[in-house]
Amino acid sequence: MSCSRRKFIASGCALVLGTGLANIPLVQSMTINGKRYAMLHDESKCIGCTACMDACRETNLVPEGVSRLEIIRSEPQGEYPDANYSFFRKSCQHCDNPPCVEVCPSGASFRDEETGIVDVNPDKCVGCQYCVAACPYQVRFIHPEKNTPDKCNFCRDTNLAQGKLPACVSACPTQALIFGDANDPASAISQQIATKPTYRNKVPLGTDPQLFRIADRNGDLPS
Amino acid sequence: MNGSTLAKHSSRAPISLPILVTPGLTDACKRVKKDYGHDEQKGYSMKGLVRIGWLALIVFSLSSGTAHAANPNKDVTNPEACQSCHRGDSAHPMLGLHGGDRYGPTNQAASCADCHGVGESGSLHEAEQTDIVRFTHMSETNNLSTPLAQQNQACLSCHLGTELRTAHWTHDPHANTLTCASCHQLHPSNDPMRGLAKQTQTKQCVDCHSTLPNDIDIFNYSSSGGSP
Amino acid sequence: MSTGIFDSVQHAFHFDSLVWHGPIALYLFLLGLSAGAAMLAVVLKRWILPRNNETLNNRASENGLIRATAIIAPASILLSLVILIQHLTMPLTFWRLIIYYNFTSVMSIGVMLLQLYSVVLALWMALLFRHELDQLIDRWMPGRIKNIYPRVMQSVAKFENTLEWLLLGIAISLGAYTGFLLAELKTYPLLNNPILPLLFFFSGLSSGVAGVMLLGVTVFKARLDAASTHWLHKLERPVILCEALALAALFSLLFYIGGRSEVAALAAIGGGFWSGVFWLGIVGLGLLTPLMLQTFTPAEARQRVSFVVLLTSCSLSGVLMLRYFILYAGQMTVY
Ligand code: SF4
Ligand code: SF4
Ligand code: SF4
Repeated sequence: MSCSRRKFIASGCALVLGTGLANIPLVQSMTINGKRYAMLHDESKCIGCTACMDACRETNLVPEGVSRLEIIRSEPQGEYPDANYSFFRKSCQHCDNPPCVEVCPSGASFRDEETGIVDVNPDKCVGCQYCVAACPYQVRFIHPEKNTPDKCNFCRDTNLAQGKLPACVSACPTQALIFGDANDPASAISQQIATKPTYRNKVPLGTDPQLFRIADRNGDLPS
Repeated sequence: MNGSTLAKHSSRAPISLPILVTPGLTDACKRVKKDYGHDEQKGYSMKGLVRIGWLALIVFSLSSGTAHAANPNKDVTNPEACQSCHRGDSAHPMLGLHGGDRYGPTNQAASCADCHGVGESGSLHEAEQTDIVRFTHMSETNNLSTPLAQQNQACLSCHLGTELRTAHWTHDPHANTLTCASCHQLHPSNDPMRGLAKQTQTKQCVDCHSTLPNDIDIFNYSSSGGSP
Repeated sequence: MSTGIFDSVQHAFHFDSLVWHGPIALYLFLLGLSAGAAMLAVVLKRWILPRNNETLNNRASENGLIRATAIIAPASILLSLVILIQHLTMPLTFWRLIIYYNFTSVMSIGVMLLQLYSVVLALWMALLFRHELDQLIDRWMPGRIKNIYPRVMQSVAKFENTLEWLLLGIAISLGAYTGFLLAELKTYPLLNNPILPLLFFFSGLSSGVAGVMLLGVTVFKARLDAASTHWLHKLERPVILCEALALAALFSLLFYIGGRSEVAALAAIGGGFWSGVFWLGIVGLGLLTPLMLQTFTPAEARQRVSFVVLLTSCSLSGVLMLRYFILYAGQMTVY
């Protein structure tokens, strides 16, 4: 299985983490064949308008009632007129070591080695929902029409296939979303990651998520 | 409006007839004089009187309609007095949203002056326009005739911050950076901001925020004309 | 008040982080029961019955307890598979599980195990009931099959010893598999820990002991004074103690780890509907009641069938509740 090498590297990293060298930049150590698409959500620029959500729904024909992408708004911090909000993007993190892929019994959930994108192949899926339960970010849902698990796939079959940026990225009025190849040091996302302090969600679980975030000034993260 | 004020004003002379204005003018003068009382105490009474004289002359020479001072009943606590001139048009009839509002424990009818203020010179806002609170959309030049804080303070005296937050969270982040009138219209019978579909709401955000310069720090964004 | 209770029960079965529903708990229970029964079947046949000279005409199939295992093991595995397939969002595509494999997936390994288990169990039972099968074939089957049958049986019989060890091994793995399936879920701290497979193994075995005992003495009239029945009876207490120990270890571990694990443990047993199920149902009815009954019931009362029925029903329902509790309370708290 092609994932064994990745697993090996991942467990190596986990070992390193476990021995206390927690600050090793995992990001740069994980080079897979070809591109590794990643996304950055700059929470300090996000205004919580949810234009990204609408655009995703429209582009990827996501039915009402479920969503591939949610912007979670924090409780107000402070009193009117000096109150602030934080925004948190909930969507697939395209983990380098994805639990959803690991548990899938039929290999329907897979990580595309060319791009690093995690996607679902409905033709292999049986609908056991193991992946839905296994995703620690809880971003998977059962598509009400297809009856198979669905989630963000970086618009792999829609905008990306047409050579366009993911729908959410181009819809964002404040350029709070940056998409690109994290393996290419010249890409906008690599530049941002290299020069700005970013964080990722639930890193200790060893999933190695590829959704990077720039914390807003309020510094309050939803759990 | 209660019955007695209505009755009082129904007997008022139409302002289109200058000759009938005269008794009213005396009233106006008295009133202005009273307002300038501090001048008197400081020994500027003559200057005040001269001003009044000039004013009366100007007012008298102009025909009706343009001159507020010529209005015999320019009682700023009475909406009808203002509306006799500020009729608006069919699209903005003035009598919409805030027209019949009542507020406070006394359930008093809101007057124009409650929000727009009376200006430093009393009712003479024609002469000293800047005294009157004007609720305006924030343009990109941010050339507000009334500073942002003053505008919003007028709204906040009735609309509590907590209520605004419940109505829509976006009130919070814009409280210091936008005038209420940037989004809301105050006099039509229905504020177009009300009951917007979710996607139209989003469009409001996008329309504004995509015009802001890319590198702007929106969280420290404040208008140049915004602070008094 | 009544709406309050209704709401809290509603909430116990419907919450945002819930992915796997009740049928999965039933599936895991039946799988554990089947594995437990299969383990007992092998142990009884290989070691217990011969030791006590209980096998009539050298035929283990005559024994009531063995007959009970021979019903429980295949019946509950079949039922569990039906439930599992029914729970898929696309039940008609279940065959893909047999075509496609993923060796990193606990479920995929489980599917392999289950297939192997079904085959080995079927063969082993054919050997066990060879005498009865002979008669059936002789009576009902056409000549061609009658000719092939003895040869097939002979070659299978050569592997009887291997089959028995294989069955024991697979049954133990299946018992633990039910726990590994859930322990793999990184999402939920209450599930994602190494004690869960151990707990599920012991509770599966405990349900196996109780199930075989119950069916053996009621339907198949196993004699209560027989040495094998006595052995099974004596097995109950240590198995239940092991189950209790694993449960205690699980929650101790969660509290030691702290953080979200502690939150999860507190949410599960520190109040609310599922903590009621835990303390009253699992600890009270499933663990303490059987232990007390065994310790404090006078010897002659223990020889009654009604006593066995009471005792085994308690531990069976305890195990069933444990499965529901772990599944639901486990999914309540996420990392
Ligand atoms: S975020 Fe969830 S669905 Fe996406 S790759 Fe990671 S585990 Fe899989
Ligand atoms: S990348 Fe595409 S699929 Fe993913 S959230 Fe954005 S629009 Fe939706
Ligand atoms: S479109 Fe951009 S600014 Fe709006 S919610 Fe999404 S990420 Fe935030």
